[in-house]
Amino acid sequence: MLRNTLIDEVLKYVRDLNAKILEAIRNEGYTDRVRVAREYFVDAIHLMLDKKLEEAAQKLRKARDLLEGI
Amino acid sequence: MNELPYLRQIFNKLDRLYAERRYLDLERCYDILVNSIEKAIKDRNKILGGKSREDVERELYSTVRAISGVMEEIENRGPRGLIKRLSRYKDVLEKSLSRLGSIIDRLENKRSTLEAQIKSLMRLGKMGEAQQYIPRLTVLERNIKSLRAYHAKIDRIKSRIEGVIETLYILDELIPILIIEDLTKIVRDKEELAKYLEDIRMIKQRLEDAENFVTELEGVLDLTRGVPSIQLTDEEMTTYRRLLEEVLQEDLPQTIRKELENFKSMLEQKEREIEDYLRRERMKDEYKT
Repeated sequence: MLRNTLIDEVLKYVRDLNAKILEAIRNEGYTDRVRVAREYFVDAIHLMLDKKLEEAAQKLRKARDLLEGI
Repeated sequence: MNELPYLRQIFNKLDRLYAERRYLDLERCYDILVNSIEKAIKDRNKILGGKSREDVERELYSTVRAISGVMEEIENRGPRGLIKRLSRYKDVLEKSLSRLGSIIDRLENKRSTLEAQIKSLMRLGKMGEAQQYIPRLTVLERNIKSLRAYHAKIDRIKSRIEGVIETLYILDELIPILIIEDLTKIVRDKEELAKYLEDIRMIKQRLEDAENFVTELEGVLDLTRGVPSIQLTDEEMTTYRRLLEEVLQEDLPQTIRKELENFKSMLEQKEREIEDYLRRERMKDEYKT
């Protein structure tokens, strides 16, 4: 049950993060920040396919923080 | 972590293209890809009966392939597509020029050997025998002249293509501005808009020159159709015919003309929009003073 909740949460993160990356591209173009955020994003997908959800969530958080300038 | 290189590549390519074009079709590509990734993650992480890594990778890969096709179609739209086609045509012309050059060299060799033979016969006083070779020499000279003229035409077209490609590259840089609807609602700086207007007018002028190139290209293609009257040996004729088939791309002028018209109407529309905006702003300024 807990794992299902985690999957749903992480999947929501994936969609939100992709939308944030697109917004950043629209605003600033294909910059280094966008590139690095996308790297984290793809890393997270790979980790999820390896069933490493916690690590994936960390990567997604890193990408989000980078895009939000935290 | 097991890496899927195509996933990283497709996202990088999509992001770069989206930064340049911002087409809605690209946003749909992202949606399809993200949906497919979500499905793969769900299938993989099911507590009971989760799919194998190979199975989800296979499904993901088929989505990536489908999206790559759409992206290629998007990349070929507008100036870039035409640049690609013209560059390919330029390569064909370059090869044709080199092969045509070899045919001319061979004929030139034949001509000078025959000429030397005739001169030597004349020196020996064998005028009658020498006379027999004269018609062959005349035909050779005529062939060389025609082929040289054709070579010069193709060479000129090749150089003109380079100019058209350069114009299309400049136009391509302007595309992000041209595709913005209601540009004057987003960019309000008059100096910046005046600069865009200047660029648009410059490109419009260069596109008119590109239209002249199309007429010239049609002329060369017409000329090409008339050339087989040249008398060549069977082997030379086969090489030459093959060469003509490559050079003759009958739909090329039409395609270029159609694309140029599209670009021109795009430029004119944006030119009108900026002109109207700047005129209104000028009137406002005059009213204030």
